[in-house]
Amino acid sequence: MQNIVLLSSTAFIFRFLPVFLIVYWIAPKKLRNAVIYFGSIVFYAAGSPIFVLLLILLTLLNYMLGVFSWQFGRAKLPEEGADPDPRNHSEGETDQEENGHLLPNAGFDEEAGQHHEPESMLKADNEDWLIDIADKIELQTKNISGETDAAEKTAPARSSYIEQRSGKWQFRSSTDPKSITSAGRSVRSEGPAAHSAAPSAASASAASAASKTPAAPVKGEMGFVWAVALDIAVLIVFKVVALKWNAELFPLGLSFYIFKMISYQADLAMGKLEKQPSFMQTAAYFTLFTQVTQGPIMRFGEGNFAEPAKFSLDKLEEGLVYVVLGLGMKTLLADRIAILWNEIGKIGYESISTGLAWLGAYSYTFELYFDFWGYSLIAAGVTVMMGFPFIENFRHPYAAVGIGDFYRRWHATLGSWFRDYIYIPLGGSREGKLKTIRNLMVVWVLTGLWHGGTLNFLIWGVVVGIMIVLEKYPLKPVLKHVPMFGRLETWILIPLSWVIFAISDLPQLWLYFTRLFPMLSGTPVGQEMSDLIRLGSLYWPYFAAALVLCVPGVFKWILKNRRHPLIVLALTALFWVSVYYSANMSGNTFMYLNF
Amino acid sequence: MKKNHKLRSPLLISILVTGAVFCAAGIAGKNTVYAGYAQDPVFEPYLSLVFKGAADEVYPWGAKESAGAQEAMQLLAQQSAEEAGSPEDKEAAEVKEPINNKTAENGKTAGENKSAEDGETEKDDSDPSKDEKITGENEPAEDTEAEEENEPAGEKEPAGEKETAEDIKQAEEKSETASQQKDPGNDSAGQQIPESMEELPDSVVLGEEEEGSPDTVQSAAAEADAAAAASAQEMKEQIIVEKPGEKHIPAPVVYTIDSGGITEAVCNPVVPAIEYGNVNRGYLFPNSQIPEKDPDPIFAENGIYYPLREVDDSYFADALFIGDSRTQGLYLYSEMKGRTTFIAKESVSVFNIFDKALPFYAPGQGEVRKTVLDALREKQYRKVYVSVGVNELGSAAAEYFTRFKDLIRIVRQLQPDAIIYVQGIMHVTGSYAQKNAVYNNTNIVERNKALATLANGHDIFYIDLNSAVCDAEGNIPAELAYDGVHLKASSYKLWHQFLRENAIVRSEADWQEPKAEAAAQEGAAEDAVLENTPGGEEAVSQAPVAE
Repeated sequence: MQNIVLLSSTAFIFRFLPVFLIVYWIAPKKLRNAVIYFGSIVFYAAGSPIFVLLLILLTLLNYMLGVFSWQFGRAKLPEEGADPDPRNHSEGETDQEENGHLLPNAGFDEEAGQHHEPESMLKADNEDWLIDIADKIELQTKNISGETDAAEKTAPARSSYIEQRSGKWQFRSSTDPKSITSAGRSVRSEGPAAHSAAPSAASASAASAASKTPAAPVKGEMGFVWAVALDIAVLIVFKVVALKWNAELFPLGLSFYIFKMISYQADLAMGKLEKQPSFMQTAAYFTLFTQVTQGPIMRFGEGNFAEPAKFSLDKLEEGLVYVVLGLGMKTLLADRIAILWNEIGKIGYESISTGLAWLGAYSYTFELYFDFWGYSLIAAGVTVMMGFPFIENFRHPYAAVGIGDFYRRWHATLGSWFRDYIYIPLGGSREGKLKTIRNLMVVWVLTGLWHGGTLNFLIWGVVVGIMIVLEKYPLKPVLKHVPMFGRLETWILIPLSWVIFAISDLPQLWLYFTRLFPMLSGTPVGQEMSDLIRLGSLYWPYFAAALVLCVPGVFKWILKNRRHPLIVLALTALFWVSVYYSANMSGNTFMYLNF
Repeated sequence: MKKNHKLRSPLLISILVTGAVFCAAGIAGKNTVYAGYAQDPVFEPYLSLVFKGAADEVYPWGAKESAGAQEAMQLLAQQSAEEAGSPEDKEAAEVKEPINNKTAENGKTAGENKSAEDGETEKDDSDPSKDEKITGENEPAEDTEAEEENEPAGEKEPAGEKETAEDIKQAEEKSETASQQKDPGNDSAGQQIPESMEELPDSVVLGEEEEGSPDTVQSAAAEADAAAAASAQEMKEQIIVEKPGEKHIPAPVVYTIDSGGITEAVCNPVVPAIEYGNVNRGYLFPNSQIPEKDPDPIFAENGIYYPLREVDDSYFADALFIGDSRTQGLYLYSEMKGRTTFIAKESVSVFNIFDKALPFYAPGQGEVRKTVLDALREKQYRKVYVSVGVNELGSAAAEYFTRFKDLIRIVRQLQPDAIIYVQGIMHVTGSYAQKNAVYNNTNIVERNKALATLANGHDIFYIDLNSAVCDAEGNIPAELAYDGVHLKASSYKLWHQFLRENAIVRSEADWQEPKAEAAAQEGAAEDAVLENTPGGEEAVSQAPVAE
């Protein structure tokens, strides 16, 4: 019963999901959000019967405090004049638009410029593919595009959408070369965003922002500050409790839904929302079952809570394709490769050869990637089945050229959250090199701590932060002219950084690094490699499949041809094979519970 | 409209259609082939039965029978039949015969009580064993009921008691008929169960764990005039006669049964191996049902032990290790590799150990795949170490124990001369145990207590690794086991060391004499078998010293 919350479980796929979808589509539009809310509460309660109360409580508090944030946002709007076209302007768009504008200046995305060449190269072979936009968004986009033509196009597809339009598939690269041209135009809207977002950064920065704001207190401001402070405090308290006492005292999915709540408050306070959300809309957004446990961290405006979608068989089919692909990645790749990583732990790091240590680093790399990507795909696919736009969390990160690029593609909803609500409010990259470096480091330390309270996550955050700073300044020319360098970074430094991420015990972590680099411990190289051969010969097919899937074209090719009978057949087979593993895991997160 | 929809959602339709088929298969089979799978239709779709079944090679059209497991059942049935056929001695008969009869009855599924017809011919005994196999795969619980009755009185299954009177009667009938069957020689048996008979040397077929009750065997031997049978029995007798422990056996350590004290000791998570070996009858005979004398010959004449002593690695040259992933780890990561023979794989349990070919590693050979039965038949080992149990923690303890006992019976039958080591299940780490309702040390200790009862101090010994790896609380220290269950590669040396320090050393004469006799009496056909047995006891013949 508990494993209903696991999106790859048979209980979810064959019980919760069909029932939910039927009720959802039968229910009148007015009740859709209520269906989402109550369905999600049931879902969450199945996984965590106690903490569901916390979720309900936080939902209520955030909605009530959100009323103040809304007033705050409204009060500021006229003077800032951020919205060029309030009418047709859904939040997602605003958000994307602003992001798009901000990107080139934001430091986070400054590298976009550098990667311009490789990206467009990438784009070239993908030109025919589609990342397209749901009809509705497309419509809105058109409205905006009147004035922010280029900028809008580049809207860094936080979400890439597949949708068949006139039988043709199109691809729009997320980092379109045009995005650079939009840099100039972006400045205009950046100002207000940065300004108004400031308070949301962290309680500290919220306070400082509050003091920065004009002397006359804006209506609703305190409500907003309290809301954010509350959310952050809850998150911190539970993180500390989990760290100090018992990890099981950490509420399921808290890190994710708190971030959604903060973004909700900030978006309200920034005046990004056109209409004040009703309670049901807000509640449905916070608790949305596909996202409540593991993200993606959708923004309020990205979903169609305010305007329920029409039933569409196409959407259902499209979502199902994502679900099947995600399920396959999770159960057939991630869960299999996870066994190898576990096996290496079982052997003990002191006893593995250097070769196996490297294989292990890649096994964890792939495990993490396909687990998370697969999970995000299932989650996104289900939301698409509900008529929502596709929320893209992973944009083929291993096709990245460089670490900065990698993290724009990896867990993109988290990255953009930190960019929009921490980095930019802190000043982004507009206040000089030193401040930019400081801002980047703050973001990465927080990202590390968000993942976990142990020291290794802090180290991981700092290391990644440093690598990004290095890429941004001293290595910038190298990256620009030698794309190979960036690719090597992606394929060597990133897996090494995942090792830090994976091993929370520091002596063990160091031990692992001495296996990766025998010179660190002074032991001679030339360990015997029989363990590498033994395990490598068992697991190579998974690695081969993983590598193939790291090529962006493969995934897109499948999506493009998803109606081809053979692909349909293959996807059906993939689905049932995944179900085979899923059914046999029942309860065991890992199949290696066979001793 | 319809067509349009079809075009628009091919995958959805495809999945719905195939899903309906799987569902139908699951529902159709839920009371037959999938009867053994727990399934809660509220949370689990019926179609997952099909997939769960497929993992165990149970398909909608029926279970794939594993030849190995079937053979194992035949061996057991045959053995039981022989047991039932031989005893004429009066003393033990009353207690023993019903048990034997029940053992033969194992073949029956618990549900159908066909005991009336049962035991008439050997054929009857072997045939139901197939049935039993089929259902046994699906419904282990039923299986238990049948097999549990091996044990004297209905200790665990009160239901068993009511059958006793009937059983005794039948047992008498049965013993007559069975021995009639047998007297003409082995021919009939050979015809009935051709594979197993032909593949096995006679002595092996007849070798049983009869050691516990010498009288029985003696009388059987006296009666049976067929040469093969007799010689094998006498060979047994040889061992048995020596057993009370004199000439060749290093002074046995005698423990008296002190159920109170020992129960305490065994409940303590860490017990020295030798203490553990004491029969904890409290487990088998709860409350006041402890019989005066253990009637089932696989159990010890209580309290007689060889002392455990230290040996060097050459001791393991003629040993076979049978086990699950932990034993596999011992092969992969300890210095035992290349020094001894292993047949082990992860997820091996007493329930599936005979089903499939497992990786088999002998020194100097690469890894090949063999069934456990083949491994036991192909070569005679002098020591067989058995270590399974952690995968079974999810199933009922009694069931596990019964199956384990069957496993030991089969090993004994196929390896009549080997010292059998029953290895206690290694504990898990404290943190692992804490968060796990199934895989925890309480359960493991409970099972180890039962396993310890299998030791007879003569040729079946119980050794418990936990004394060498656990901390004072009986937990595996976290730094020894990454996943809480398996030792790290570098920790296997503790196990290795433990095995070296806790070995039974039999004098060369112990080995030689029975063989010499057997060889003398059996002639050429038997020679091949003897040649199979390991050549030397060289290293170990550091003649045992009395302690």
